[in-house]
Amino acid sequence: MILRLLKELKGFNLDIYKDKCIKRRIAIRIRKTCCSSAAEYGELLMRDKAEPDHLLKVLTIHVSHFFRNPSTFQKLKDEIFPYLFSLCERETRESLKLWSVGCAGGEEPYSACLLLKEYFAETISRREVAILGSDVNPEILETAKKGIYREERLLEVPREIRDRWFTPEEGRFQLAPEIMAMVTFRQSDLCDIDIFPESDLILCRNVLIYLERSHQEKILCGFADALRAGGILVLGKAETLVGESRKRFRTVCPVERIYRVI
Amino acid sequence: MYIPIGYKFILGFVVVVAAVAFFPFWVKLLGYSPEMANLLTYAMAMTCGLILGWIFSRSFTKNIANLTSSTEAISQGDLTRDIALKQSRFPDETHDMAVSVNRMVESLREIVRHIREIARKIAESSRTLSSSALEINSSGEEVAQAVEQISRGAESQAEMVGKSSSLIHEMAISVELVAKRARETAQAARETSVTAQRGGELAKDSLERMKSLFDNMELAGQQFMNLNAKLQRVGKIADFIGEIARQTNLLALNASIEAARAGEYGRGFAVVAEEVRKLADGTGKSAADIIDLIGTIKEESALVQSTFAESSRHIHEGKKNIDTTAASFREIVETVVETERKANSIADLSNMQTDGANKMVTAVDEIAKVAEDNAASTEQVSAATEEQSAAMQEMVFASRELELLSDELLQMVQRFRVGAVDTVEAAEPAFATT
Repeated sequence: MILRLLKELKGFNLDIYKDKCIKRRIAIRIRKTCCSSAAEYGELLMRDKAEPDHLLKVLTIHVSHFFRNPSTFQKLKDEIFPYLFSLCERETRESLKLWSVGCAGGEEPYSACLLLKEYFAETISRREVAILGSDVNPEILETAKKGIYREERLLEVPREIRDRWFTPEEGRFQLAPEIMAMVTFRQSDLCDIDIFPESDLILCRNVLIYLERSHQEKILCGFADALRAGGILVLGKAETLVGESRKRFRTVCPVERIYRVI
Repeated sequence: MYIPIGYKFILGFVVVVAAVAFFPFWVKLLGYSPEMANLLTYAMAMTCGLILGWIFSRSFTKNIANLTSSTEAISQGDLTRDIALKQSRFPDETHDMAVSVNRMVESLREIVRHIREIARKIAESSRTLSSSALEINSSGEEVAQAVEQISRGAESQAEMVGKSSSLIHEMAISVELVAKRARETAQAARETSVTAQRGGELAKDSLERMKSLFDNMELAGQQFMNLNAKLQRVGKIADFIGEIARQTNLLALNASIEAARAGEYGRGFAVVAEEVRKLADGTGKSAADIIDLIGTIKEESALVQSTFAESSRHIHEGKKNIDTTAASFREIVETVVETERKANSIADLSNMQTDGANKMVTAVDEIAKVAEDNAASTEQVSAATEEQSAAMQEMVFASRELELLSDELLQMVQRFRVGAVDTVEAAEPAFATT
């Protein structure tokens, strides 16, 4: 019932998420509002204008920091980016398109930017690189656009990169505008498989774990369609290709969960 | 004796009024002029009132001033001192007030002490909370790593299972092919066996026929020998006839000699003898011819006999060959029957193999399902740890906020000095603002 209400109130579709997970998240909110039952909370949800927003905020989980899973970024730097650039060269594409799915506070797309700026400065001066970050939550995208981070989010950023691209500000760190300008953010839902943007590299880490299997499969197939020939998909370390989608990708690195579209 | 301030005032007034009432009388006793007495009365009444007024007001202004300075000190946060009013024989409301202010100070002190204690405890608890949150976070990370490991295992498992599945599928196909071929072989063997059986029968038949041919041949040879023997006898008879013809010739010669001796009388006889001689000659010639003929026949019959012998040998060999052939056919039939049996058992075995392969496919599918379930579970765990880590982050923030709040609270109550406890707290380290 609460899910239906949410859908009506905010147009937020929870069908694709895992049941247990959502129930747990809603239970947090029910306890916090001191409601005795789900029904009572449902009433509160209808009565109180602010509550649906609170609930949405609790429902989506944003755990991230810069260069999360450093080994994955190492792999991106050593193999994937050189490969993608050479692919672009061969196919004479004008730009390299990156898509970070479920980007939360922008840590992932910005990390990719930093990587490109640090190690591929020469290449990206010659070739346009378009980086798109998308998330379902518009609020978190606003914070992403600001580019201000607490120190604990930068723990895995190498010292010299932090000094070069961040300025400390009242115990927080402001990302350089030059980096921020490289990323565009867009609010989007993973249900809309038809409007997946064309990409060369899709980073979709620790997003699918929250979704139901059947939807995972659809979305992965959607990624396969959205990727240009030879495009790369990177999943979270506990995620894997499901069902039919297994036939659409070839494994590049099983440890880092990097796959190439067939 | 407790006398409220109001009563004290009334008492004072009464005293002043009484003094004013009694002074003219006392003054009259002094014996001054009435003007002077009047003046003196006023002056004395005034003085009396002033004195009494000064006495009354002095004690409670002092008390009130005391109270004011104390409350002022309290408002400045000094809770160290109690108000001590001078003991009076006639205590009033100021004393009550002093007592209640003291009570207030005492309870304020109590509250401040309490608040300090609580703030300290809150700060401590929030620190513990944040450190345990961090600890949980790190253990959560460990779990996440383990989950990643498991997930990696599940991933390679899924891959392997996929490969095995296709391999088993291929194997099943080839096994089925083997079964098909084996069935075909069995069929062919059956056909071969029928053919071989027919061949065997034909060979047996040929052998029979050959045998009878051989027998016939033998019989013919026998008959030929008989014929030869009879021909021999004919030759002998012919020899005998030739001998007789020669004798007859000699006799005829003798007769003609006799006839010549006999002369004319023997002339007729001589003719007969001549005739007989001629006959004997002819006979001798014919007998010689017969002997010649028999010689030729003998020669030819020897040839025929050798041919017969040759044929007989050939037939014998043929018979042997046919015998061998029949045996071979028998052996072929036996082998073919064995082959059919074996091919059939191969077909049966491959059927079993196909069954096994099918079962294997189901088992592998099951494994694939389990692997997939594992992967799903690891995802679930991963999602949960992710959630946990988000909650822990929130918890860390909240506990830090709590710490700051308790700090603020402590700073606020720090303004109040409560005496002995102050020194103890001053010795404690200042609350960190991290």
